[in-house]
Amino acid sequence: MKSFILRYSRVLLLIALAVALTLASPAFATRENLMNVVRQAALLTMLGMGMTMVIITGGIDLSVGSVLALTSCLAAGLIKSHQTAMWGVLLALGVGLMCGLLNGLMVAKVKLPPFVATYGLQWVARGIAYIFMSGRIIYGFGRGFRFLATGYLAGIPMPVVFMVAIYILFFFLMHYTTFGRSVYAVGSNRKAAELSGLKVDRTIISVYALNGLLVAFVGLLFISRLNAAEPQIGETFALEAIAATLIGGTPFSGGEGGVTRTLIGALILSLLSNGMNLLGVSSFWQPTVLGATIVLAILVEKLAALAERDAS
Amino acid sequence: MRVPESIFRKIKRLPGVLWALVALIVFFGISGKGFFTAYNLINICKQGSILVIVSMGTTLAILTAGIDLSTGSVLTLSGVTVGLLIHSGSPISVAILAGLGVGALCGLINGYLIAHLKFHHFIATFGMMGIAQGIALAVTQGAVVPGFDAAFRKLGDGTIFGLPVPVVVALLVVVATSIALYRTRWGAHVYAVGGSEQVAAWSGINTRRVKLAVYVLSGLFAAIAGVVLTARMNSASPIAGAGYEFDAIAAVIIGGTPFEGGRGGIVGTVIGAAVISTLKNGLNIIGLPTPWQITIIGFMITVAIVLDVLYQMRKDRVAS
Amino acid sequence: MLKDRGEPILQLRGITKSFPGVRALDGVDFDLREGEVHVLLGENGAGKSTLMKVLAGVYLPDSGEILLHGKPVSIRNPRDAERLGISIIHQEFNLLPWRSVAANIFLGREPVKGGVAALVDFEFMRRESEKILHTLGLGIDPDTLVKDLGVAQKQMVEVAKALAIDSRILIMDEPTATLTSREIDHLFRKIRELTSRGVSIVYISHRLDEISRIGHRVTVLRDGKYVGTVPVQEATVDRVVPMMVGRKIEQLYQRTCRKPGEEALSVKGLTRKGRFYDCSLTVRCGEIVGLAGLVGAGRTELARAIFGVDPYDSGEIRVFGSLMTQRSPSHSVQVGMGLLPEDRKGEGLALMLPLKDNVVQASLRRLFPTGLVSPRVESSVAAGYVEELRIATPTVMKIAKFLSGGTQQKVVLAKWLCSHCRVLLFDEPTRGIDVGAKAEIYRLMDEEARKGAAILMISSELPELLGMADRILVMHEGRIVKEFSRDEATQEAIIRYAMGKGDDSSASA
Repeated sequence: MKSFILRYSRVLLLIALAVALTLASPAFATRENLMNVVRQAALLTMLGMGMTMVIITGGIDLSVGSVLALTSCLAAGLIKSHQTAMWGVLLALGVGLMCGLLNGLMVAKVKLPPFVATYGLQWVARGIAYIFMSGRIIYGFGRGFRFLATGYLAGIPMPVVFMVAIYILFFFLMHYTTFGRSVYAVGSNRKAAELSGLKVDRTIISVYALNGLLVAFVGLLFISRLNAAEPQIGETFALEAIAATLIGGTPFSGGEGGVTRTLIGALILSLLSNGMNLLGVSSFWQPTVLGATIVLAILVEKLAALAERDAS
Repeated sequence: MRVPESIFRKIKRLPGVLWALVALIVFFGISGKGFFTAYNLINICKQGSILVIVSMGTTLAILTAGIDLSTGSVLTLSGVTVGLLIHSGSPISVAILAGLGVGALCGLINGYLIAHLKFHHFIATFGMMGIAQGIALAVTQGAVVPGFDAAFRKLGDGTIFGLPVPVVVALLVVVATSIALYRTRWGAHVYAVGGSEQVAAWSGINTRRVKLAVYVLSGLFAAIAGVVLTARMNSASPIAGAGYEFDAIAAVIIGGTPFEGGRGGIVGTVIGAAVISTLKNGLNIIGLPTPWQITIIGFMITVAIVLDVLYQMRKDRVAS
Repeated sequence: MLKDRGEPILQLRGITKSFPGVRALDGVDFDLREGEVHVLLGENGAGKSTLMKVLAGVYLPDSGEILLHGKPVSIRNPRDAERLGISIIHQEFNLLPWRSVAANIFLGREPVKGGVAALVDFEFMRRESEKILHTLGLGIDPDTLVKDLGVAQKQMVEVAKALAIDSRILIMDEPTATLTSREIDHLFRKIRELTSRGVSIVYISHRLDEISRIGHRVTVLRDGKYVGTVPVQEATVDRVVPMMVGRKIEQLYQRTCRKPGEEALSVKGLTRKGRFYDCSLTVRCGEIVGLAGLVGAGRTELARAIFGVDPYDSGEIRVFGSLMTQRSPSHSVQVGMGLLPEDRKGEGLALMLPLKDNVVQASLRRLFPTGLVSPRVESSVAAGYVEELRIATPTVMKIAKFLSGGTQQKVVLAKWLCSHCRVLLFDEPTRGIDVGAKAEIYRLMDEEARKGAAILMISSELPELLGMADRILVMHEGRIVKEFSRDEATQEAIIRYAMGKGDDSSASA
């Protein structure tokens, strides 16, 4: 029983939150509101998927917010100056991939600690975004591009469609491919993975590169939704993605956890902020709730692990 | 003949970043009109003082192979606490003490989570970053707490013996930290914990207490910075401290204390903070916009890290 | 000189210490007299290190007593040991590289000047450090950072650290393992000076030549039991080696088939400077070749270089006749070579992952060439090995860290069996596991050999080598100094060569 609670503590928390909000606010359990929650969760969930994959290798990527700003500003520039959004989209994805590759190379080959490697790029990417924009804000995109984030597919908002697609993709990648097995193996024991003949460096580089690509994609959705691009976007994204991962229950130590947990973590975060809105709690409390949830989630885990150890 | 030799040795031991600072000052002195004015230099010192105070705590955290991401938020929260208390009629001294107490408490929570509950330092201080920021926003309803009387403002723009008060406060904090770090057993143990927690523990050092104290001090220093900043700005903004944690980390890294802990020190951090403050000010004067500042600081951090790694690699090669 | 060495200052009586599945110490007695160097000798796993860790307060004994100057004492932690004047110098140094020599010597006990401020008295630290370093004949500036010292100097700093707390008893764990012969001479001079001042030393070593130069008495442990103590004059190879070995080869080892086939692994002139030199060997299909030698002889390094984890400077490796051009474990696995590492938890297993993931870890490319993984196939493959290897686990989903040591080793073994690698390098495959699991592992090795695998087995347990191997190579100081056929090999002969004493016997023969 105890291990059941421990194992599904996040799901139980999510359910408890939903039940509490249903009771507390009649506006909560409406189709419209729930759709809203999921829509809000969409971008964060996608960023969380990538971050989770990185954290499972025992790494971290602090640069995601800055890379997102850089790629989406570059894309915005190109989209505005061309007829079609395609070149902008391709550029964004390409630059995101490059940034991720750079991170991966620094971690795998130069052997910098992931925190350090991505910390440097965080500043540089943001700065280049500022320089590129040189004070302007690019706004007003074409309908085609705006459809990415504001359109509907069979009545479902596009971001949610993408979220589900990315989740399925990542779930499949992490659990049904040899690549996913390598990711977990590297995070659990890098030396053992190497001795088992896995290509450790290649795995690490791929993970960061894939994350860069994903970040660029989310950036495109973000500016499509905003209908504008400016260099200061996404400053809190890295931290929010980390928060979703941690609250979901993927630990920093690597080799454990998974994207489903992060999906739940992101949903918990979105429910919290939605609930606060509905209950008229000032949104100013949001960072506090975020921080406290992280600390509590980890705390519960630590205490449960302690209890389990004492029991055995 | 011992004297000149020891001087050379001392010069060699100075962090290389000092030359970067000298180069920056010369560069801006030549190219920036109005850089070399007393007014501007004093301004740099005042701005830099706040960063120096915050980064002292960050240095301690990084020396133990940890980090403190919450300094900016804690700074804000302390400033807001002081501001609100003064406005509600508390005596200034009580308000300041309360502000410092809030900072120390945040640090205590960080330290307890990290040292006793074995939280990852990143997670604990990251959580605190959000908690403190949110409280600051909520208690002010997101609004700036404006205008204080002259007595409190003295902390920001007054002078003592001709020195601006923020500079004096920063000097006091630096001196206190250097005594604690370089002259007490505790300081030696900070280095030991960062160098190898196991070696430290085996030598009978209470590593938990060392870490707890480090984070309490980090919170306290952030609070001191918050009080001074509030006085200087003559207002307490609920986002006043945003970004200070990263500037402080940058100052520490540029100053030659690496993330791995166990080596480095506060002299480098002071110079690192000076470099960042000078850079921001100078780039403003020669008319380069903020984005360039961020990029250049980012490059400097990267260069500092890469140089350190290369240096280590060369050392290792020589050693083997 | 010998008059000082009358009464024992330290006595250990009936020390027993068990770990899950292993009785590491079984009623061991040991005593130490003032001013003597007492050598502790024994094979790996004989219990030397455990005994010294009990003395240093790292482990608490299950039973037995420790007497210091005739009075019983309890040593519950390293601090207690320190207070009683007992210091241990570990093989991996307990020093902070980025702190000065003086700071390291006084770490955790920094002297403070009186007054409220309680500031560290650096002048005193410097002076005292200088004094201690001087008595050790070291011209090191106490302000030097430890990272800038050589290995020998670091070791002397450890000694200085021990002297600074006025230790009367010093435990040295294979102190010469990484020293050059000149540094060893120097260390021995210092040890003699220390003993002449009444410091007593427990000296753990494998090298018989050293023992006669430095020791006064030799105590031999075997299988966690006390075997005997002899004065160093009587501690000849002929007297000591049988004490260390003692065991008869048991029925544990079974080889059902000894028919070597084609050449599977061939190594020629492999050299990595400072580690191993000019090593050549071959292993045939269906053959188990043993690699004997002392710790530090270069066996593990050789195996890791063959597998492509560690670099080498010259030489060539062929697997089934084709030259290995890429030096990477990934390539080695692809051509059919596997390495079962010495450090099971550190390098063998992904402890956080389920058993099934560990079993298929080296076979992902073989089982799932398209890159798509079928968990069902994984589970059934793993379940097959669980059955075949009799792995004690309720399910293949069990997380590896919750398995016992012997079971974990079987999982690592299963990983390599699953990989279908035909050339297997086993580094201490039975270290730290109980007899039952050992027997299982021997059975599996035999079966693999029968099916045509070529196995190179590194082991420090001679009975195991003698029981399992078809041929035994002996390494000494980075070189393969002797090859025995199964019939020629005896424990005594192997130990002689491993200790570098092989020539003596051949000269006398």
